[in-house]
Order: sequence, then structure tokens, then C-alpha cells
Amino acid sequence: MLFNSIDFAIFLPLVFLLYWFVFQKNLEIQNVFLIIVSYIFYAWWDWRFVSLIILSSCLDWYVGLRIYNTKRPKLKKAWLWTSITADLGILGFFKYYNFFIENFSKAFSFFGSELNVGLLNIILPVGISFYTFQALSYSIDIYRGNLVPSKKLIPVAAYVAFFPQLMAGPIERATHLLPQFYVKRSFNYDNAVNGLRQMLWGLFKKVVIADNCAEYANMIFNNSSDYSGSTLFIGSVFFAFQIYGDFSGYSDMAIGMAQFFGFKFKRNFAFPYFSRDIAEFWRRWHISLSTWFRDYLYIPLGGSRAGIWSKIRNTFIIFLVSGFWHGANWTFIAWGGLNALYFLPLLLSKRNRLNLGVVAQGKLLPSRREVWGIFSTFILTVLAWILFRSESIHQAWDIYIKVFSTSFFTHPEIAFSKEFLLLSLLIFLFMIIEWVGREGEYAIEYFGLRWNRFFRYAFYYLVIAFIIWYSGKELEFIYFQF
Amino acid sequence: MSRFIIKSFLFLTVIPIVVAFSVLYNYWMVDWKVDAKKDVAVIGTSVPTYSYNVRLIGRLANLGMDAETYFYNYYKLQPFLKKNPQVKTLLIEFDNRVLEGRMNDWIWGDRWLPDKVGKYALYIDGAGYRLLLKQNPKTYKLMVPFIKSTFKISLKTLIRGRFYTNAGLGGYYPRYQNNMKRILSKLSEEEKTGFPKQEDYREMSQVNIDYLHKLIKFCKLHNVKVFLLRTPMHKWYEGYKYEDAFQQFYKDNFAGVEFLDFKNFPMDDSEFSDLSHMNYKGSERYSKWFNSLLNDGLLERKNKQEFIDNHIALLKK
Repeated sequence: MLFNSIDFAIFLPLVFLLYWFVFQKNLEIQNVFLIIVSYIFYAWWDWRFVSLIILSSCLDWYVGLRIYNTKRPKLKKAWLWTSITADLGILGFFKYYNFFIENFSKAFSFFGSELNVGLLNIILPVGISFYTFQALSYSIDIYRGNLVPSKKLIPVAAYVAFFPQLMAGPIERATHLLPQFYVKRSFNYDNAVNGLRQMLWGLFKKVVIADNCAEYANMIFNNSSDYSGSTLFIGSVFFAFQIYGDFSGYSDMAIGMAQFFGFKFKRNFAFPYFSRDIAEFWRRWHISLSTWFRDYLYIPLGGSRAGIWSKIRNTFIIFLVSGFWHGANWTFIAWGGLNALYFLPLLLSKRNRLNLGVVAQGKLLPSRREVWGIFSTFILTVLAWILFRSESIHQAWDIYIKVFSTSFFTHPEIAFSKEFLLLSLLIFLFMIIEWVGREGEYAIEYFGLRWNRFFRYAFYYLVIAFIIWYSGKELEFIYFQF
Repeated sequence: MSRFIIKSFLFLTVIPIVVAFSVLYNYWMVDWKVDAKKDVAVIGTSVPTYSYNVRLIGRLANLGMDAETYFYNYYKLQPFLKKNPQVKTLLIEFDNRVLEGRMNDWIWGDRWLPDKVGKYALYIDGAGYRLLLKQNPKTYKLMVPFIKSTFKISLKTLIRGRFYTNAGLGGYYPRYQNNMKRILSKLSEEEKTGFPKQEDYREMSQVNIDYLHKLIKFCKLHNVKVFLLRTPMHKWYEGYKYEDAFQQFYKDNFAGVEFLDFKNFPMDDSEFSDLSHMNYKGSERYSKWFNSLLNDGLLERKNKQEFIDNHIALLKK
């Protein structure tokens, strides 16, 4: 079920009313109800794959108990590896099997021998990368002693399957979210209103910004051989806004929705396009995934405390793995690699933690230096998105060649139509609102709260009007494919 | 909790109220009336939309609309004729494409349905809605697109004060882009000598054909003369592969309706925006010529096709 669909517009109020009016009697009932509706939510896409979520939940719940109750360190480790192998095994089979077979075949044929293993016609279960990582964090945190396992399966199953974050995150840690399933939720008016506001903004980002940018980005990338460097660059800029609107919009909706049900999710995006360098960008983009890799991969490898070569190795590992997490394609790996190259000079010169706070905090406008930082980081990001959006390395290479040639200075082939100009204006206004609200959790958290009620409501209705105006496409969220 | 529900409910209630108001507002504000001297109308898909520049054809009203099938043409024509009793002749675009199975998709497919229903919601009758509901099981999903369309139309109506534009119910729309270079470069040598002939349409849209019959019947009932008309397309247009089947279908099903065929009107690549649509330049030249034919009494002549062919032959000399 898509958050931006009619099905979901019926599903959510229904679940909300049942949750607070019928199934609110005790904690157990609340949790069981959330599991059932979460499975229905997932089954709307394909009921067969609900079994994978159930399998993952049961496995990690059982392994968690074994890890906790075992005294022998070696056995603890063995149980942990059981969980890691099983979870990553499922993920690997569904997501990476064909990729590896294809590449092994190519490698073998390069050396003159044939590998006759057929590709499988596998459907990639939606959200598998998200809930697998979430389930893994449960076992790992128990192993590390950061979490006491749940004796009951219900809270763990609810934690893994909770529908707002099931399809595309944020990847919540067990240490943060699971304890919220241990206490009976009670309704909080302010949280619910705040959640509604955040959902509204998320929907705006998705329907108005992302889906409209998608039309131009798709048109340009799908016919990239026909366009000049200037048009391709414009297409990449549109893709940058598409992916931001799409993914952060989904996260906003998920976080807002969780508040409806008495939960608090961690922030997943913190205005990444206002970052002053790439290191800051990676602290603000897909925070739940970056911190997951940081805590469970980068730091165990030695992080940035080791020697120079280890730093370089660890940086490459984390970025390449992060790229590969996005999809079984060399383009994602190359995208990760390029970001590692962007990041390394900052790390090696110890300038990766220069910009930790909010840009131009307490000020209306940024300084010239900050403007330059934001602009250059954005351009670097846009250039990296070319790899992310391309179908193949070959296509990305062709685009780079055109973007870095004189054709970048030619007149773009796309018509500057009314729609194009309107969309550009919308993006501009959107970024202004994001700028104004950059000190909040999301852009309109405090936007207009001090205004007269009439103007405040007028603003909300205007946002709704834009959503209605641009609705109807029901385009899938990009991150569903991951 | 109740405070939240009541406030949310009141907040959201404004939306259906605005939509209901929009629907009614559109209904009352639609300006179907065209200039009194327009006594001929052309109706159909995007092909007439981009071809007949009404500024250059004094007698013609253009009701062409992107991806609009006979199903929607039928419902649109009724209020139009009611408000424009001076229109006594209707030209219906009838080309190789309108018989194709994909017309079904244009009637009830997700891509076009919301837009069309948004425009014609108040004119479609029970039979029409039954058909749409039967063919598209996801019709309930159209609620949002429907809201969107009516809302959009209302706003446009409000801004413009009247509602008869291409974005509304049809009309001439100039197309400035020329994609021919790119399109032609992608055609294979074989396609450039004509797509391989197909004896039959693999799939036909029976519903679209039925509604063409209904359209003709409706016109006859209201004493409006009907002609089928084929607007020129590029010589390599893919639909010409059905040419024999198309001609045969016409003879078998619509022989009683005169067919005005402009297929051979000479045009060059620079006058098209793609293989099936003229661009502004092409439409300007074609419209001027078409206007001269109308003024020369094309529609009143006995041997209309001969008259057209003779004029085309003169152009080719």
C-alpha cells in the first residue's frame, strides 16, 4: 500500500479509530492489533512475502533469547552469526543472487570457461533491506549488551513489522523503538497534531515536488543519448530534488504517522541540501542508514581512529557497502565509491567535523562562505546522483562525458514551458520554506505557528490544494525498490 | 482524543465542500457557446486538436482533445449542440488509430480516466458510468484524481471567467516543438519504406466503435450532418499499416456516412511535431487550405472526395 494512495487514505483513519477506540484496552491487544494491520498493509502489495517478515521476526526473537541466556562467549558469537547469516542470507538471495550469478558468469567467460547457472525469476520483496537491518540491530544490540531481549515474541514482531516504517524506513534501532512496545500507549493531542502536520509536509514533498521532478528526470534519463550536457545536468538536478522529496517525504509521513499511534521515531533527514560539505551531507541524509553502518560496521572495523590506510579502507568499505545496499547494480557501488572519494580528503585532513550545527543558526541568511559550501556540496551531490539514477555504468559514463564537455554550454533541448517554470518556482518556494524551518525537526514544524489562525489554516489549505492539484499519479516511492 | 477527531473532521470537511462547490460551479460556468458564425464543428482526438487552427478557419469550431475517444466525444457533443444550434455539420476525426484496441485504455484506463471523468462527470449518463465501473475495477481510486480535476477546472474557470479552452473541453492548440529529427533517426530503413502491412487490426475497441455509431445517430436525430474525416499524418505514420483493413472496415460499417480523406495532403517533415501530429507551421498551412475548401463549398458538393483530391493534385504540381 502506498502512503499516497486512496487505499491508504481509507486504511489509516480506520486503523487509527480501531486502535484508539477498540483495541486500546491493554498493551498486548494494542501490539497484536498493530502486528495484524501491519501484515495487512504489507500483504496489500504481496501476501506471500509476509512469511519472510514473520520468519525474520521469529528467528531474531529466538536468537536474541539464546544470545542473552548463553554464558559462553563463543556460543554467543555463534548465535549472533546465525542471525546475521540467516537475515543477510534471505536478503542476499532475493536481492543479490542474480547480480552475483551474472557477474560470476561474465568473469568466468572472460577467462575462457563457461558457468552454466541460470538466473532466477525472483521478485524483490518490498522493504526487505529495511526490515532485515532492523531485525539485525535487535540481535547485535543484545550481543553487545545494549539491550535485554523480549521474553515475548509479540513486541519483537510488532517492532519488525510496524507499518509506518516497514516499506522504506527509517531503520529504527531496537534500543530505541522496542522499549516503546513495552508500554501502553496513550493518546497525546499535541503529538497527533504534530504528526498530522509532518505527514502533510511529507505528502507535499512526495506528490508536489518528487512526482513532478520525476517527469523531467525520467524523460531526460530515459533518453539520455538524445540530450546535450546542459539538459542532462538539468535532469540530474531534477533527480536530486525528486529523490529528496520522495525519500524524505516518505520518512516524514512515517515519522508523523508513528506519532498518531503514540510512537516516536528518530529523524531520518535533516535538510541535507543545506550541508556545507560532504561529511555534513552524510550526517543529514538517510541518517538511520548512515548511523546503522557507522555503529555496526565502521566502528567495529576501527572507524577513523586507526592508521591512515585503515581509515581509507574503512571509508571505502562503508561507502561501497552502503551503495551496494541500495541495489544490485554496479552503478550503486560506483556511487558509493564516488562519495568515498568526496569524503576522504575531509577525513584525512581532519575537516570532516567542521560543520556540526545548523547552518546560519539564528540568522536569516547564510554567510558568503556558507553559500559557497552549500552550492559546491549540492553540485557534487548532483554529479553523484547521475550514477545513482543511471541504468548502467555505461550510461552514466556517457552522461558525464557530455556534462563535462562543451555541450554543457549549449541551449538545453527541453522546452521552458509553463509547467517547467511553475515547477522551478515551486522548488524554489519549497527550498525557502525548508530554509526557514531548518532549525526544526521538519520544515513546517513551527512554520506559521505564531500566525493568526486564519493565515495558518490558509497555509495548510494551500499545501493541501497543491497536493490535490498534483495528485493522481500514485508513483511508487523510489526507495521501495531497495 | 475527541477534540482531535472533531477538529480533524472539521478541517477536512472543507475539502468535500470545496469539491462539491467546484462541480456545481463548473456545471453552471461552462461556456459552451461558440461564435455564431461557426456552423461546422470538428471532434476527435489530439489529431484535430493540433491541426485545425480555428482562427484561420472562419466556419469551424474545434472540439478536438488529447486522447479523447468517441465515448467522451459523445457526452461532450450533447451540451455543445444544445448551446450552439447554429452548428449544423459535424466532422468526426476517423483515422487508422481510432479503431485500435488501445482506445479502450483511453476510455477506462487509469492514465486518462480521471482527467476525462473530471471534465465530463456531469454529462456522462448511467450507461456510461456502468461501463466505466465495470471495466475499471479500481474506479473508486479515481476519487482523488476526480477531486483534483474538478478543483483544477474550477480554478481555471475562476481565473479565466469562461471555460472553453484546450485545457477545458477542447479546441485548437498549437504545437511548436518538432521532434521529427529524433523520431526519423530512430526509424529503421524498413520502417521508412512503410511499416509492414497488417491485414487486420489485432485488437479493436468495440466500445469506441459503438460510441461512434451513437454519435452519428445522435447527430442525425438532431438534424446535424455528419462526415467522417481523416486529417493528414506523416507518410511513415505507423497506423498506415492497417490501411486495407481500415478501408474495409469503413465500407462494412460506416458506408452510409461520407468520408472526407485528407491523407494525401502534401506536407514535409518540418510541418510535423511527430508522425501523427502537425506542428504549428503545418497546421497553419493546412488550416488556410482547408478554409479555402470550406469557402469553396466543399460540404455542399456532391463529389466531395474528388473535389479534395483535385485540390491536392493542384498542390502537388
